[in-house]
Amino acid sequence: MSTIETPDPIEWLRRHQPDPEPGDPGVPEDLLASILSGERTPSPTPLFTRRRRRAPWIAGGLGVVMVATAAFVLSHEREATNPTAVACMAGVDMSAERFGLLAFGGNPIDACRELWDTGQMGGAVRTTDQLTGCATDDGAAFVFPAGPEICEQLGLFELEFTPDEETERLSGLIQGLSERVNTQTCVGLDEAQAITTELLAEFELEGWTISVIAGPTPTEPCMTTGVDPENTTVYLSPLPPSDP
Amino acid sequence: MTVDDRPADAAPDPPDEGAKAGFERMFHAHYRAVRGFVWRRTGNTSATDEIVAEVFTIAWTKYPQLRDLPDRSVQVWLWRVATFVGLRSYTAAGRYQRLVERLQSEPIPSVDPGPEDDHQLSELHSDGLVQRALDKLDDGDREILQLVAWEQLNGPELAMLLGITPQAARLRLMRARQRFREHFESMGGVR
Repeated sequence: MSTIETPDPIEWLRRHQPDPEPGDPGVPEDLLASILSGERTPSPTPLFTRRRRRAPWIAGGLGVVMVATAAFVLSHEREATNPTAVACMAGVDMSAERFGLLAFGGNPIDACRELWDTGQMGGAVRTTDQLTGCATDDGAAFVFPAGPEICEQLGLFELEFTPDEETERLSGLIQGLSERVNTQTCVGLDEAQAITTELLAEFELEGWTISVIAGPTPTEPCMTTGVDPENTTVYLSPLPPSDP
Repeated sequence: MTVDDRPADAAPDPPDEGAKAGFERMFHAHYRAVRGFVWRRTGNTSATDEIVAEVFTIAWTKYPQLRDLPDRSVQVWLWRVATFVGLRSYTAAGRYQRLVERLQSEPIPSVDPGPEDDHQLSELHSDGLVQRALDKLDDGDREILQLVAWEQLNGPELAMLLGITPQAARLRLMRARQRFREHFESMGGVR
């Protein structure tokens, strides 16, 4: 029998989509009207939670989804200074290309920094080490590749971020890995592991795991890191060749 | 600065007409995408109705934070809220099981294959191996592959949906692919 080459699972799944909803339910204007009129308000508790305490849907990441989303759904105070959605700006004005991100319960500037550091800002070139978070008076958050003067220049406020202790430690880890591994020319596996271990100790993040997804190869000798707060794991891998 | 320091139970400011118009555009632009996302996971009309309604109700309260985001980011944010407000009760495993059942119900090609049938049989065999390899993945790995395949998410979008850093999302996707390949190859497939 002939051998079968490993197919790309994503391509395979794309060819095998779940059946679409039968018919076209249309856009319910009555729902829109009831939301805008204030007749409909968010449920005080998440829907359907009584059915299952921990379902496997997005098992990895769900805890963070719940914590972070609960934070913005349930707490105005946290939302006030710690926005959950942030636009990472590729330039220093409001017309610049922007990339939406969630601040994953951490510092929105960290979230954008990682996009910059890992070349995921659409090819934009960062001309400064500084990133500054600004906000509009109704809470929209933007992170610019510029110093703190940018907020005033654009008629915005400086974004306040008041992390709790755990978030602060997480933020320190992300920033440390960014500075010492992800933005360096080339950090090998042993050094990356040592730096990660050191940072986990420095920021007192106990019980974390360092997971080496793949080792370096002759063609990909440099490592990069990714932080997964939900699974309390730092992933190490050779620099990925391209976006998914 | 404090963007919004009202206590949690304070009444929100009355929305201006511009915000209403903007939200209306957002609602029309994303309703079908959110509905499709939820439907693919529930396969249940009334649950889909309920979850989607809740998602947009929450989105209205957060509209000032969303209106300056790129459209696609808004869409991913809405999907994320959908996962929070109830989708997690409708498991990927259940959805995947429906897909497997559907594939298994498809007719098997006839024996005595000619050249074309041979190709068909080979594809069917390959599909079977892929299914089994996907089955062996844990839910988190399988879900990441499904999100990228079915929702066309890129790295930052995947990060936004999962609530992890962009680089972690890239690496988790890489790991999911790697584990799939290991399972597939252990069942007789080759690189």
